[in-house]
Amino acid sequence: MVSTFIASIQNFEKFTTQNLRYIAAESVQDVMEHAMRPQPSVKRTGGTFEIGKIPVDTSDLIRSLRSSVGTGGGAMGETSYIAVIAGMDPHDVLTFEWTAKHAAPMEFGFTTKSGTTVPGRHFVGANAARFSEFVERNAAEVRR
Amino acid sequence: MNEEDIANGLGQALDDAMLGYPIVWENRYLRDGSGNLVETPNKAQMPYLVVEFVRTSRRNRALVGGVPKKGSQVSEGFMQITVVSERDAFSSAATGIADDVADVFPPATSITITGGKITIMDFPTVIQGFPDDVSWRVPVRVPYRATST
Repeated sequence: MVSTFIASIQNFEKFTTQNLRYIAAESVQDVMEHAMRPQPSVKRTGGTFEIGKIPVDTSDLIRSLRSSVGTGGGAMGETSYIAVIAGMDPHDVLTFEWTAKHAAPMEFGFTTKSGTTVPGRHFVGANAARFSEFVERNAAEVRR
Repeated sequence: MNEEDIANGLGQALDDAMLGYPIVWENRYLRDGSGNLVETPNKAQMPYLVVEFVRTSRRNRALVGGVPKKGSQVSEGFMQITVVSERDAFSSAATGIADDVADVFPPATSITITGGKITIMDFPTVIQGFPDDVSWRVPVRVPYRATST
């Protein structure tokens, strides 16, 4: 679904390692910032919601983010991704997990006890799919 | 080429595959084999498929200082097809159905639509299943890119 980092950059060999690190970090940060944009729960909106934003009712979901590098234990909390991205190198494997029990139903959709099909919010998928777009934009910024 | 054309093209490809499971389209309810509304799905209706479209980007490259040209309009996103199956049953059956759904959309598949074409950009992703209040769900995400012709 998401193009690789290098495949997203035209003439990537012309960038310095420092620039590649900047582009990678900014692009991951863009994905995470978009994924963590909050929206009120349907209890407050009366049923409407936006695709690509994280729903916030009790804040359990948004606070359940665990961010880590490699096999490290990582950090918890809604801003935990900032420190992890700040220390990343382009070859690192970063992991972001929303550990709340209702994270998957909110992302992918679910069926209520009464049988109503509720669509997903896709706060992760819709923004992860834009990774290449963010990479292109950040690479263009470095080229200027 | 508009979003309706894209949704119709992808939906038709899924329908044409005749996988043999009821399909719940966006903003529609489940219907039984006779076309009757099923307001409260239960085990008797499972497994069935739920379709959603997630549009992530729509742009017109011709507007970036150029003149209108072939393929200038680009729309990207993914189609999510979720296998909804019984809870408290072995998950392998639902995963197998998800694999069958994924096989409908191999990478580089091209679907001609009004005013453009859809290309499947990568292997569909079969996501780890999870339970909700009444079912076991296995989402399949199909990444697409549609361009005008």
